[in-house]
Amino acid sequence: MYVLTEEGEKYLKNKLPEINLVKELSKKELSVSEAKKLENFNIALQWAKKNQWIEIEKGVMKLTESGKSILEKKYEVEEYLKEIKSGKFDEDKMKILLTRNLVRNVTEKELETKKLIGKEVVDVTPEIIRSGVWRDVKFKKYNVEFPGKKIYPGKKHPLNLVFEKIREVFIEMGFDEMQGPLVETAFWNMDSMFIPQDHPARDIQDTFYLSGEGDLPDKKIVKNVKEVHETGGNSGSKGWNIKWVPEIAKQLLLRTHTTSVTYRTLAGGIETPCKRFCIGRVFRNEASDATHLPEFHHAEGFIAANNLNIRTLMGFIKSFYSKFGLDEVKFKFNYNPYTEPSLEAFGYSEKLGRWIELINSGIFRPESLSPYGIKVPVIAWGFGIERLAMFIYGNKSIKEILGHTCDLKYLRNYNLLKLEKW
Amino acid sequence: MLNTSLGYFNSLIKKKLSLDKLEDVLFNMGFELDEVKGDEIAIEMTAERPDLLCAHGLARAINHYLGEKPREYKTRKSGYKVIVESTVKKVRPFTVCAVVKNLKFNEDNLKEIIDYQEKLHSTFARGRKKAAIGIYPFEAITTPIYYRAEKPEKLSFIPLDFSESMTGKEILEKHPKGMDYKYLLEGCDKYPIFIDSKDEILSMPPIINSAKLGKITNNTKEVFIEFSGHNMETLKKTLNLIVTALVDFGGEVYSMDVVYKDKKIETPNLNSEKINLKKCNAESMLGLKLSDKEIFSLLEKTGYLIKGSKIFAPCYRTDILHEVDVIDDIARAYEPGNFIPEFPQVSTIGNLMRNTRIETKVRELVVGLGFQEVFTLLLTSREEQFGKMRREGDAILLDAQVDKSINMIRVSLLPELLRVLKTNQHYEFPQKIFEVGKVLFPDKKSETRSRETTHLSSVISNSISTYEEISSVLNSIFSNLNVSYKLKETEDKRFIKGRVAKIIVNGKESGIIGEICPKVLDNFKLDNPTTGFELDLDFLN
Repeated sequence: MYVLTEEGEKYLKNKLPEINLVKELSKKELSVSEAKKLENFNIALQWAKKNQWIEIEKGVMKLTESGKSILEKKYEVEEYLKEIKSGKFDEDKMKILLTRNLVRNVTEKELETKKLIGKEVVDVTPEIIRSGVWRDVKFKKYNVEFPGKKIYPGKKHPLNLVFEKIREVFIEMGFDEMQGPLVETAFWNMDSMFIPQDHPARDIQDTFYLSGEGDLPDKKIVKNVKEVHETGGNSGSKGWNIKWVPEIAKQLLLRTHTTSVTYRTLAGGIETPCKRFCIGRVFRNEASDATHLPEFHHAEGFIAANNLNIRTLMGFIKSFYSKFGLDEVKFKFNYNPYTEPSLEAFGYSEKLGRWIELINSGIFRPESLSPYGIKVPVIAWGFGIERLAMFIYGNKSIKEILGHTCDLKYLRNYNLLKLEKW
Repeated sequence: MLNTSLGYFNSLIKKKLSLDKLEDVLFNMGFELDEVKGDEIAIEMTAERPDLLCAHGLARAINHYLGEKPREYKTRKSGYKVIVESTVKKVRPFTVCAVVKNLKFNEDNLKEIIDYQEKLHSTFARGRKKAAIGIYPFEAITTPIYYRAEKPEKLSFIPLDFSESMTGKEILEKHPKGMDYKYLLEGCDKYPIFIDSKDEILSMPPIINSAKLGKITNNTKEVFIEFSGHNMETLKKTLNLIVTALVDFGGEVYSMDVVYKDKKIETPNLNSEKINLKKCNAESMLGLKLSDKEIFSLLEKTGYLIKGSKIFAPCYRTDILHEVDVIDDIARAYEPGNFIPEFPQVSTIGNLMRNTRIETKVRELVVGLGFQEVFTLLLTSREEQFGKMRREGDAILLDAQVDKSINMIRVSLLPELLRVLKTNQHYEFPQKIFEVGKVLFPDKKSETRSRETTHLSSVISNSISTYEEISSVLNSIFSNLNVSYKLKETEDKRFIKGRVAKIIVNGKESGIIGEICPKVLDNFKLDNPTTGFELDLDFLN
C-alpha cells in the first residue's frame, strides 16, 4: 500500500515545480538568475530539462515546443499523484514517484494508526510518531504522581562496597596491595611474628587446625625465628625462654588474621619506605551468633620507614578514620603479642552517639622484625570489616548479609549511599 | 577480667576516686571498666600483665599511677627447707617456694588470693602446664618439706572437696580436677607430691591439694607457697606474683632453701631487675623530647624503681622482655591523650593487584546483567557440597570445629548459592544471584597443602528458567571479556540430562552450565526451576 509523502501532497495541491516553471516561462522569458528565485527551482530545472521542456541560451531560459504544449496536456506525473491519492496504484508508475520521494509504502499498522486521528490515545507507538498522526490525536492523561512499580537491579554486595572504599582509601594514601593464602602454617600465622608457641591464641578453641603439616620457609629464616623465640636472638630481647619446636610451626590452619600476609611480605624482603595493605578473609573456631561468624574479613596495613613513632601511628589512624566520616578519635594502650606499644583506636560516631572501637594498631616488636633483617620502625593497624560494615549499614545481625542465611530483600533494597554518610 | 567489689577495691586505693575518675585512670593505663552492677565491678584485664589480675595488684598499679612511690620488696632468711628428690626429674622437675607470715585473712582477701591463684593457672600458667601453684596453711606443716614422685597407686590422701582417701590413680579417674588435668600427667609412671616431715601429703601437683594440709582459711596466719613446673626462670618470676600480693595484704616474706641434688637455691628472689634504657630510643619511639627527670618520673608512675640514675623493674613484672616494653610503660604514664598525632610524611605510590582489578570488572559485568551479588561462607559441609549435589570429591576437612554444622572448606560456589535461594524462597522472583569467590582444594605439592582458585557462579531461579537464558548470560560474559569459549555436551548428575554442558576455555575444562536437576532442587527444598553455571576464572590470570 502506497500513500503520498508530504512532498507529494504538496505538489498535488500546488502543482509540480517543473509545471510551475513552465507556467512562469510561458508568461515571459527569464534569466537563470531570475528563475532561481522561484520555489523548488533546482527540482523544477532538473525535471523540465529531463522532459526537454526548456532550453538555456546565454543565461536565458526559453520554452521548447513540447514545453509550450505541456500546459495544454495532462502531465503524467501529476496524474500518477492523483491516482495514488484516490487509492489506485501501478508498480510501473510508482517507480518515478518513489525515486522522487513523492510516495512511500505504508503498513497495515500505519493505516490503523490513521484511524486514530481525532481520538484519545493511550500508547504512543512508532507508527503514531512516523505517520505524523501524533499531530491530530489527544494523549490520554496519566496519574503521573503515582510512584512506579519497584524493580530490582543487579547490585554489588554491601560488604563489597566497603572493600572498595577501604581499597580506595589505601590507594589514595599510597599503599600497595598484598595477598596471601587462606590455609597457612602456624609459622606464618604466629611464629613469624613472635607469638610464643604456648600462647593461648593458639588453642583449638580459637584456631581451625587442619590435619597434616606444611612446609617451613628457608632455613635461615627458620633459624632466626627459632633463636628469637628461645633467646631473643640479636633483637635485644630475652626471648620467650621456651624451646621452639618446628613441628608446632608446621601445623596447618586457617589463618586467624591477615597479619600472616604482612609477615610473609616482611620476610620476603621489602624496600623502604614501604606501605602495604591487605584485605582478606580470616577464620576463628567459634560458634556463630548475631555479631560473629566463624569467618569474616580483615583489613590491615603497615608502613616501614624511618622516623615513625607513636605519634605518626596516631596521625595515620586519625586520617584513616576521617575517610570514613569519624573525625573525633581517641586512643587507648593495650597489649598484643607482636606490637609494643599497642594502641586501640576509638572513633566517635555522631549518629550512634558513642565511641566505637574499630582499629587495633601498634609498632611491631623488634623480635618480630630482626629475623628478617628489618631495622626501620614498622607501624601497623588492622580491623574487622564486618564490624565497620554493621555500623555503616546498621545491620542487627551479620547473618543478614553474609552466608547462605543472607536476606535477599535486604540486599535488593539496601541504601547504596549509606557509605557516604552514616 | 578482674571481678571485685567496689567498696573493697576502693579501700585499697590510697586516693579517693569517683567511679568516673577510676574509669579515666584505668583507660589511661590501658584498661577498661567493663561493667558496674551495684557494688560489683568487672575490669577488662590482659593475660600479658599477670601482676594486675588481682585487686591488690591492680590497686598497687593505680596507686603508683596516682603518685605513690614504688616500694621494694624484701625477704627474710628462714632456713626452712624444701628437699627436691631426683624422682621428680622426669615428671615435673622444678619447684620454687616461699613462706609468708603475719597474714590476716578475711572473707574478701581470702577470696582474692584463691581467685588470683586460679586466674594465674588459667592464663599465665597455661592451664597449670607452665606452672602449678599451691598455697597451704604453714602452721599445720612440719618442715623440711619433700618434693618427690611416687607410684600413683602407692600414694594416697584425702583430696580437697572429698572426704575419703584416694590413690593418685583414683584421683585422676574420679576427682573432677583429676579428670580436668590428667593429661598433664599422662604417660608418667610416678606422680609428683609435696609431703612434710610427718609424712602428711600436702598435694599432688599439678592436680589437687590435700583436704587436710592444702586449704587456707580465715584462721590461717602463715602460708607455705610452692610453684612447680618445667622451667625454673618462669617459676621464679611467677612465684613473685603471689608473694608480692601477699606482702601487699600485710604479710612478711620468708625465704626457703630449695635443695636439689646438685644445688641449693634460695627462693623467692624479690630483687628488682636493672633495666638498660637508651633515652634516644624512647624518644624516637614516642616522638617526644624528654628530660631524664621526666623519664624517671614517668617510670615511677608505672611502678619502676629509680635509684640515682639507674632504673629497676619491679620483681613482679614478668612481661619485660625488651627495652620497648619499658618504653611502652613510659607511653602509658605519659597518657594517650597527651600525644599529639602527626600524619606520617612517607610518600609512596599505591597499586591494586591485577586480580583485584579484574575481579572487580567481572563483578560489575555480572551486576550489569541484572544479578544480585551475595557473599557465602567458605566453611561448609560435605552434605551441602557433595551430598545434596549428588557428587563426590576431595576437600580440605576441618578438625575439632566448635560449630558442628561445618566440616569442610567449599570446593564449589553453586551449592552455596542454592542454599541462599532456599533461605529466600518467600521473596519475589525471578531471583538472579551470583558470587565471585575463592574455593579451595587439597594439593600435596604446595607449601600449605592447598590450592586456591577464584570461581564465578550465577544462578537464575524463576517459574520458567531455561538453558537458553543462562547460556546467553554466559555468552555475554565471555564476549565482554573478549575470551572465546566452547560448550561441550556432557552428563552431570547436578543437572538435567541433555541440558548441561562443560565450559571449555583455551582447550581447558573451566566450568559447567545447565538446568539444575529437579532431584538436586528437591534436596535443597527449592520449588522453582533453576539454571546456573560455575566458572573457574583462572583463565583471566
